[in-house]
Parts: sequence; C-alpha cells; structure tokens
Amino acid sequence: MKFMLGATATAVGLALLAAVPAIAAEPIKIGTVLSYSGVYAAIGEEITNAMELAFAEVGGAIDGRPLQVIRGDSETKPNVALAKATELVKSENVDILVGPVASPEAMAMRDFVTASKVPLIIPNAGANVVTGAKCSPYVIRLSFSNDQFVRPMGKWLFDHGVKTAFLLAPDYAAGHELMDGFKAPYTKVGGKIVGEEYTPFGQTKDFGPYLAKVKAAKPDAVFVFYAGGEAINFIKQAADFKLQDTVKLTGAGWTVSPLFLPAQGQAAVGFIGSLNYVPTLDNPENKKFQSEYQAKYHRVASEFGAQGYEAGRMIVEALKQTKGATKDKTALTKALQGVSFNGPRGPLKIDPATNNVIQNMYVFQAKSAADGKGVDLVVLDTIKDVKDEPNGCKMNF
Amino acid sequence: MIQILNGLQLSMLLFLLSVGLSVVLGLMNFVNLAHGTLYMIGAYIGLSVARTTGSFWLALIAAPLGAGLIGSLLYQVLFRRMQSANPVKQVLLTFGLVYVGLDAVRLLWGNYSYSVAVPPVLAGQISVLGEPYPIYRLFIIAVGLVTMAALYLGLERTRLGAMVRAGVDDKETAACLGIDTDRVFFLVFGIGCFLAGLAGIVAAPVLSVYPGMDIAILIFTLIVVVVGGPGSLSGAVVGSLLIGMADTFGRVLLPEFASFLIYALMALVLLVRPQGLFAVR
Amino acid sequence: MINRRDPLLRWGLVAAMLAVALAVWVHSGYFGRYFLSELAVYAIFAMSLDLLAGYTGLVSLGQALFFGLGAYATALLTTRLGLGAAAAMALLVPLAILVSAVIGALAVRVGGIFFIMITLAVGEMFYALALGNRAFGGSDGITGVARIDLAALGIDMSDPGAYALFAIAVALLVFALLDLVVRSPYGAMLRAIHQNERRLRALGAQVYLLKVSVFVLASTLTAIAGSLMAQLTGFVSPDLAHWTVSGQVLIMAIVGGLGTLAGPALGAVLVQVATHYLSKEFGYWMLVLGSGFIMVVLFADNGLYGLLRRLLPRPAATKGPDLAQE
Repeated sequence: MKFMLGATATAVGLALLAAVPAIAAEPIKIGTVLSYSGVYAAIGEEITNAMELAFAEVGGAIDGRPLQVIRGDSETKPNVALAKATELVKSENVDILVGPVASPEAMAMRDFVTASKVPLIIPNAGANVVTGAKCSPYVIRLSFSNDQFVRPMGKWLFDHGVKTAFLLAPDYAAGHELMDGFKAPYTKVGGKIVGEEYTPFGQTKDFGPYLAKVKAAKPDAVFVFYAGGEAINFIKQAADFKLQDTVKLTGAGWTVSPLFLPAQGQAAVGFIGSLNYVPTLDNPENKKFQSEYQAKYHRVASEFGAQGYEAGRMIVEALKQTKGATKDKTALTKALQGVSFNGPRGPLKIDPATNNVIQNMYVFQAKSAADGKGVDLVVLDTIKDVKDEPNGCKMNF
Repeated sequence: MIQILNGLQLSMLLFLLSVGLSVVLGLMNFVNLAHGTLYMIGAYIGLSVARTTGSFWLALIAAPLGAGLIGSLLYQVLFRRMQSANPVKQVLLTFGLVYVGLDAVRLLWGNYSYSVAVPPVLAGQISVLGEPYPIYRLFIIAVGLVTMAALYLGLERTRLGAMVRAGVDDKETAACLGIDTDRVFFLVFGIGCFLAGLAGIVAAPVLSVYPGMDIAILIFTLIVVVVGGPGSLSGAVVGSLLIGMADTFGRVLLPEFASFLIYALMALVLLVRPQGLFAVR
Repeated sequence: MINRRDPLLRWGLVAAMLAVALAVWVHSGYFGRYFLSELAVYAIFAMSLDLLAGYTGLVSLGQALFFGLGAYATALLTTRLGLGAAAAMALLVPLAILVSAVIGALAVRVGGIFFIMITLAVGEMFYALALGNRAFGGSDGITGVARIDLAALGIDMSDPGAYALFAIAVALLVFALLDLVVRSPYGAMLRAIHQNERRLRALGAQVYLLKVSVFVLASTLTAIAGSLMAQLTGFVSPDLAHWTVSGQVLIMAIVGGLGTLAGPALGAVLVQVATHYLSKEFGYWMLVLGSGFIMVVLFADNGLYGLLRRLLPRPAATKGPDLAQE
C-alpha cells in the first residue's frame, strides 16, 4: 500500500515535471506546402531537408521555442496546395508558410495568405507576376523571378560572340517567361533570334525533331530552358546528335542543375548558363553548407537546396529580430522582409518594392571534373545584385 | 530523312509497348491500365542491373524477364479472375496497381531521375545523308523490326500463334475446340509484359528513368491500340507507325498544334472507323 | 421491375451523409468547413458521372473538360467582365449545353472502349488549349474569382461555413434532380441502353438522342461543379481539366458503386478524405490508396454501395429481377 502510494506520487510528480516545459515553450510552427510526391518530389525533399539543416544549426529552437516543421504535400496541384495551406494556417496555426515548388500553386495560395495575414516564403516558384502585378506584402520570394534569372544572359552572350540565337523551351508559363526575359535584353543590344520553338510541356521525350530544326537554322547558340526528366533527355539527346559541334549550348542554368548532372554525365559539358547558385561558389557560407549537406544526405546540394537552406536562415534571422515572438504576424512579416544576410548564394536581401530577392547571378560553364567522370559548374562571371525592374507591383500592409 | 528516322524510332518504341496491350485487350478483353507500370518496372530493373554489373546487355535481358515475371505473377494472383469481370472493375484494379507501382518505385529507387548509359558499342553517331545520327536510335529501330518479325512468325507459324489467332477471332469456339484458353492467355499476357519491359530498358538511355514515366507514355500507347485496332498485330504495327510519324512530323511542321494533332487523329479514326484500322471483329 | 427498396437505401445513405456533414460542420473550424465544400463539389461531379457511366453505360474519361469549362467560364466572366458569380453560373449553363451537345453528338456514335478513348482525346485537347492559351492565364491560371453574392440575404459567402452550406445544398439539389431522372421513364430507358442497346433500338427507341441528351445533362451538372470549385478556391488553372481528374472521379464513382447515385457521392467523399489524410501521415500514401482500390475490387462487388446493400437485411419478397444492380 505504501509502496503504491509512493509509486503513484512519483509518477504524478514526473508527469508534472514533464508537462512543465511543454507549457512554457510553445513551438514556432513552420508549415511547408511543397511537392512531396510526383515529378517534383526530389525538389520538395531537398528544399525541406536543407531548411531543416538551417534550423539544426541553431539547435532547432529560437529563444527556447522549438522550431517545428509540419509538412503538407501539395501533389503539385494548385487546389491541393490551397487546401493544405488552409489547413496549416487555420487548423495547425502555423506561424510561417514555406512553399511552393511550382508557380500555379503560389498563385492559388496568394489571396488566402494575404487575407489571413500569414507570411508565405517562396523557396522556388518563379513566375514574374507573383512579385509583380499580383505581389502581396505577405508573399516574400527568396528564390528568384524568371525575369531576373535570364536577363543578365542577354547582354553577356551577345558580348561573348553569340550574335544569333534559337530559343527552345517547354510550352508553359515559365518557359515563355524565361524566353521573353532573355529575348528583350538580347535583341536590345543587337542580337538576332533566328528561331523560337516551344515543346509540349511535360510530354516531350524525344527532342530529335527539334534538334534537327535547331541545326538547320544554324544559329550561333541555342538558348534553352528545361527541368526534370526533360532536362536530362534534352542534354543527352543534344550530345547524341552532336549539337555542340556546330551550335553553342546555352540557357537557363537549371537545365544542368546538380540535380540532373549525375544522369546527364559528360553530355552536359560545354553548357553555358546562368544560375543563382552553383555548388562550387567560393564563400565560407557555401563551404559550410555543402559539407553539412553532403555529410547528411550524400549528394551535392543543388540550387534548390541552397534556396531551402536560405529560407531556413531567413526565418531564423527574422525570429532573432522579433526575439522569438510570432503573435504579431505583421511584425513578423516585416522582420522577414527586412532580413539581409550572406547565404551560400552570396549576399541576399529582399527588395522592399517587390518582395523579391536581390541576389547575384552567376554565369557558368559546365566543365569536365578532374576525375573525368563528374561535371563541375565553373563560374565565368558574377553579376552582382540583380533585382527586378519595375514590374507593376504595388503593395502596402 | 533524319526526321523520318526519328519518327521510326519513336514508332518502334510505341510498337513494343502497344503490341502487348493490344493483344491482351483483343484476346482477353482485359483493360490493363497498369501496362505502363510494367514498362517502368522493366526500366528500373534494367537500371539496377546496369548499375551493379556495368553491362547494358545484361540489363537488356534482365528487364524484360523481370517485367514478364512480375506480369505473370500479377496475372495469376489478380487478373485471371478479373477477365470476365466488368471492365469497370478492371479499370479500378489496374488503376490501383498504377498507384501502388508509382510509390513502390519511389520507395525502392528514390525520387530522382536516373539514366542508363548506352553501351560503348552503340555509342557515337553514324553519318546519314551528311548529318550525324545516333547509332543507338538505329539500334532501337532494329530491335523493333526484329520483334515485329519474331511476332509475325510466331503468330503465323507456331501452334501457340494459331491458338492466339483463334482466341482473338472467337474465344468461345476456340475453347470448344479444346484449346486451353487459360494457358494461352497466361502466356500471351506474360509475353506482353515481357515486351513492355523490353521497351522500358531500350528506351532508358534515351528517355531516362523516373517515377511517373509510365503515365507519360500510357496515353500514347492507348491511342496506338485504339487507332490500330485491338487484337491485331498489323494494327499495332500500322498504329504505332502512324502515331509515331504523326507526332514527329507534327512537331516539325505544325509545332503549335503538335499535341492537339495526335488526339485529333485518334478522334478522326474513331469517328470514321470506330473499331480501329485493322479491326479483328 | 425496379426494386422498391433501392430509392429507400439511396435516400437513406444520403440522409446519413448529410447528417454527418452537418455534424462535422458544427464541430469544425475554418478548414473543416472549407474541406466540406470540396467534398460537396466532388460529390456532384461523381454523381453526374454516374448518370452517364453507371446508368447509361457511357464511361467517359473526359468529363474534366466540363469541370474545367465551368470553372474557367466562371473565372473569366467574373474577373474579365466583372459579372457576379450567380450571373456567371447562369450563363455557363447554355455554354455547357452547347459544347456538350456538339461533343456528344459525335462521341456517342461509338461505344465501349472507343467512347472512353474519344472522350479522353477531347478532354486532352481542351487541356492543351487551356494550357497553351496565355490570354486565359496559361499554366499559371487565373486568380481573384469571386464567390456568389448572397449579401442581399444577409449571408457572407466569404465565410467558409456559409459557402459549405451552399455547396452542400447544391449537392443535395443535384442528387434530388438525378434521383427523379433515374426513377422516371427516361431513366428506365437509360438503364435499358446499358443493358441491351440493340434490343432497345429494335423496339424503336431513339437511342442516339437519348445518349446525347444524357451526355448533355451529365456534362452540364459537371460544369456547375466546376464553377463551385472555382468559387471555393478563388482560382482556376488547367490542372482542373487534366485527364487524371477525370480518372480520379471515375475511380471515386466506381469505389462508391456505379449506377447507384448515392454510392458515387459516398465514394467521392471517402476517396477525397482518404487522399487528404493519408498524404498527411504517409510519404507513400499512393501505395496505401492504391491497395485500398484493389481491396475494393476484390471484396466489394459493385463498390461500397453494393457492400452496404448486402449487409442490410433483404426484404421478404422481391418481385422480378433487380434492374438497378450490376
């Protein structure tokens, strides 16, 4: 009897002790709305893993409040993204949302996060309009805008001997935006577009017909954008048809992202493109990031990982500013907006006029690695502090 | 000329995929939406074999065998009893398998896209009318033609082939004549899956291996089967040639309408000759 | 002879679903009510598909075309022309009738797998159109779609609870309408087409016109579901018209039980709920869901509705063959 009393008392005591920290330190909830299934699953995972790495660096907590990541699989469908965002905000009461991978989902969530006054940090989706005509004080983009990504290439390629170009991209919004973003500055300095083709989005497996067309047009260079399986297929098939014998291979850097290089192999060598991040960037932040990421995940982190990691850093920096307070969402959002730090990509800050990031763009060329098997993306030129030009964004809280 | 070769190569790939589906549909009246899944599984098996042994040729043998085996297993366990069932149930069953297959490959191989290296003997280009054309694509064409010939001979000259033809023509009478329809179906289904797996590994160096590759190719395969006419080898041949060429030349000549074109073509055939071009019934 | 018990079970199931929905409505917050609206939309979609595929036997893999049509029409009319959502819904009905009449007139000339393929083809053509057309938002879609304005009745539609009740009410109306249709002589003719088309033709029935008319009716209801979806999310994109959406709703209907009206509604709710909650718990939710479908095929003849029917005690005497069952 005495023993039972004692045991019960101890149990109750322990339970109370266990309960105490739980009441004291309410977690800071970060909800992700990313693709965890389907074709973009690899990107969604990499962004999340890298972001969690940034949280781990500060011990997983700010001011005693643990950082809790709650995942939402958007299945790359805008409707599902909105449903998950709604659930995360209204049922789980997340303080910050991070996502999505694809732009249509960002468009779907935009009105909701603005009305709910919860900050949405975009770690990828690049449609111009998101920080343009449809910008919102609560939508902060840390990744890039399509325009910002390719604009430097227009002048750079022309200055480096590419007087005529053939454009090739998938037939959807991003494909068109990227080509338009290149075309304008390129033709302005005197470049000539000798051909422009858009391939059926997500369906094109065989680029043979298009490669033949490109060769027939005899441009100085072909400027392309592809991602995912299409990027792998395109690069490999371009090598199969010996495209680079007569035509320079250039384009938006994702086409030879470290995500795809292992599959593309030596076929990618020679590609000249622009990226906001290459794994070989020589700065202390990047060296630390890559070693941490590779130690944990046994893969070289791509630009998606860098964007995810920096989203984590951004959240950490903003929370340090508010001293861990998240109740006042407007103050939190302003803190996020005001963040400025050095990430693996280089110096980063948010443009108050558009809520889009101001970052360096790196013109690189894919070169064969020392061991003859791998491919390195070697920086040729750094274009500093690229930001969006006036694009119709009008926003206030 | 290059474009003709491109079209031919695509056609051969489509042929390998569609002939299995077509005969199964014509013979067994079984709608197998999971056919693409077997294509994908074949590609992944080939990928793993190629990676561990370093040999493309071993992968070329392993992939169709693996797909054929898995297909036969599925047949014995699930499909056999579904044959006479409502097509609607077949749709639900095979759709469920598509879902399971998608996650299964992600579980086993991860989310990333992979590539299979072309064997050195087939790497490089050959000059066709002054333009370099990849030797490997010619290999694909060769595989397709050899398969066509083998299937034709098989259908026309072997007993099994005769039984298959009889079964497609009139299943009930064939059974009455003492043909073990069950065994025939089993073998035919297995061969169909074998060919799907072959298509998977043959396509892998060109099209890469990734979760979801089955859905990407499924629609085209279904179109070929419908246009050509289910159950007919000639239908599969002509259908795949038609669709492959139409797609290739559509992209070259009318790029804005390229995706449209294939569907419009199928709709046209269905309206003019609903049973398909080489209908058996 | 129609089994008299069937309408009872059908209404019983719907009443049960309604009760559960209202209970959930009362007890849930913002998201729960938002989710209820989504379920109502899919229920309407699945029921309209059931009329076409379950009762008439015209299995279409292209209904997402009309879902997208209704959604886009609503989006364009409200954002580009400044019309209210109610006006948009009214206008999209004749549009849907026109488009479905044209497509139906051509498509129903073939049957079986060929009808499936042709509807698939037409659906994909529409998807390609929506995707490529930058004037209609292209792949990024259109935002800012307003909901129906019932301020005159003192109801604030921006409240998810209000919209949920609205959507559920529409779903109930659609069910009641379809119930009337299938119990009418017209409905009997549809079932007869499914059972034995040739015989019906021999008896002198206008099979072709019947088929076109049911295609129009089903597609128009699907377009309304599309409009409700656009109003719920405030957003449209080509994804709404993709063939996988047609496939998913067909699966929902089959899981629920084709040819039973209430079954597909139940199937839609269960599959959507399963998808949502499974994806929260498992990274590999498709594995679980796919296995679930296989289980349904193996163990639930004629879907969940059929299962329900078998579990309930049969009445003492049933006159004649049961035409309503598979």
